Amino acid sequence: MTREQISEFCVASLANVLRMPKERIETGTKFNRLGLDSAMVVYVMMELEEKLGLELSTDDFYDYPTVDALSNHLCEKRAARPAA
Amino acid sequence: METFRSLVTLLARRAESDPGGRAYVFLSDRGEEEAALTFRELHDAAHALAARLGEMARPGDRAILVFPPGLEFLIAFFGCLIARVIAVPMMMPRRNSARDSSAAILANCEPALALTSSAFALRGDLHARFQRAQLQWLSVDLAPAGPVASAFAEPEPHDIAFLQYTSGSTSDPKGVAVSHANLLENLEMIRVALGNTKRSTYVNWVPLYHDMGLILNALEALYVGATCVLMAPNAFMQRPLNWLRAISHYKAEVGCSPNFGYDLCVSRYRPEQMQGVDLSSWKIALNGAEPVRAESMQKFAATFAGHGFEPRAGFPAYGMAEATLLIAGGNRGAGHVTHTVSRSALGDHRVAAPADTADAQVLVGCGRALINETIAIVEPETAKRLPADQVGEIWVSGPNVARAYWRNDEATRAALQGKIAGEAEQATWLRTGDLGFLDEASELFITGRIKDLIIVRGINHYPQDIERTVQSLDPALRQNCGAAFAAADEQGEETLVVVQEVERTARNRIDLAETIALIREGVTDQHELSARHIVLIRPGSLPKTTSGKIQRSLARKLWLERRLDELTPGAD
Repeated sequence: MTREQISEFCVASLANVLRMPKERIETGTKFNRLGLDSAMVVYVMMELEEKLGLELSTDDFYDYPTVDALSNHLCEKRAARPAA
Repeated sequence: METFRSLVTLLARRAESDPGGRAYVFLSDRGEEEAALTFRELHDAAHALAARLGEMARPGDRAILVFPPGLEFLIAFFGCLIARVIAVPMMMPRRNSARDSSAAILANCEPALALTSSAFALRGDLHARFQRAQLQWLSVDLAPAGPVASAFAEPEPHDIAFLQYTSGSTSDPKGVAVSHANLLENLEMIRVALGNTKRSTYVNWVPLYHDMGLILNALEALYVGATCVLMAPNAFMQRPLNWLRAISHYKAEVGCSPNFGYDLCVSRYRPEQMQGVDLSSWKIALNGAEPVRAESMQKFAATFAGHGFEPRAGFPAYGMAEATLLIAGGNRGAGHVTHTVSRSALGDHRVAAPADTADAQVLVGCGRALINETIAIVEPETAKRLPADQVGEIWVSGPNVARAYWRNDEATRAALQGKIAGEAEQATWLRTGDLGFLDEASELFITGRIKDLIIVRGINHYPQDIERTVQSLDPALRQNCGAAFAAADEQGEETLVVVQEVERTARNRIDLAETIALIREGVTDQHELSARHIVLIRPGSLPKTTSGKIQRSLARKLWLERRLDELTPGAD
């Protein structure tokens, strides 16, 4: 998956959990500004784990608090993992 | 069932009759056993702690309990009961939240002691947050203790066992003073309704500072002599299916959760991750602490039918801390009742047949009054009792209803000493602030609430707290001119709506979209709550009473009807 695809997937997942149209989710806006609470963070995290085959922590969302930062981070994390 | 004078005698009895039986098991985030206590070990550890408490505090003093998930909390809780120190379970404060109710709770209960686990005693911010003159810290660990002779007199039935602070806003918290008698009465009521025995293993993820975790799970299991397997709330939030795996592994009979927990299991369900999981042992899947949704129960039963889940195990229930815990519930294996009613009539607090399918709303019955308890539906303004199938405030009378809030006579009079008009009897009633009706068979249906309270994922939020957060964000947001309330979305989920007036002078200075984002961020950060709808309105347009009180339910009605004087970008 490319960084763009990861970003698109994040936006779709956020739109679903926030019940907001995808167009309204700007990739540079902080998650808490979008209204993402901790239970929602867990939900999005689980979706990303499943899609990307990575193990994540909720801390990732606080360390990389926007769609842009998080998809960069996840893209690097995927590239760095040992081949299965 | 044997009767007990206090929880201290109950624990002694369990330690004597089943010393090697496992009282509590704690699972790691991976689902492996991390710690366990037999009834005897719990008894001895609690007595050893009580001996230490006796040197630091007197009977009747308060001790706050601040623990991460684990078994230490239970030693601390029983240690307090033995030493006759009043336990005050506290929610673990989040590191980054500036505001929570802990300061106001401390001011109300004036604790002499703070108990925590040795690992947590190191967390510096705890001491800062709970800073208070003369507060002595004591750490509790799981190191084995030998038998200790008790130097304490046994508590009397009407002695206060603990304070449950789940009611009241951040600035005005209300601690329900729960006595040993209240607890034992409610534990017996729960035993009869759930039909539990010492073989009824529990698996619980609800936090122990929450009454559902503490009473319905941890204490009820001890009461019937069963094992209670505990997991951390966060472990459940991240891997909800681990709860079901543990139920299967331990062949548990009882698992309880607020409604959202069942939804979470359904949304995380992956058949390939659940091979071999057998839920046929599960007899009571209690659903309470927030509104019960018919659709959630159906979906859960359908999703897990292939794993042997019995739909009749679904057990909707209703309760609150003021009644110790449980107020209404069904009977083991009896299934649940639903009524299809008119959504629009319900909006006007009437029960009627739906006009058409679009108007149909399915209500789940929360069972009937428990043994030795009475539920009445009362017209809240006149305090007159209403007949079956009429919506009114739910009032409760029984030995499980607490006598008082801790040091809050006004709240005690208002909520715990209700009298029904024209009924001369001695009975005093708990006014729940919830709306509902009883059908002809005395089944209770919850339809709404008159108290200003927002319940999300089983946690109570008070609108005053959210409004204060909002108004602190920008001077353009007028003080005391906002309303926060709950409204059900298309899925029937309770969501948060914030309505706020903007100062006339600031109208042209601020960017509406930017202000809304600021509010959303502030509410998320301070309350762990997502505001679905934020509406900025013209000054003076929020409904208030003549004395200046905010009319939240009227604001909600105006919002639902789109009649608020909303500020829109581009308009002046």
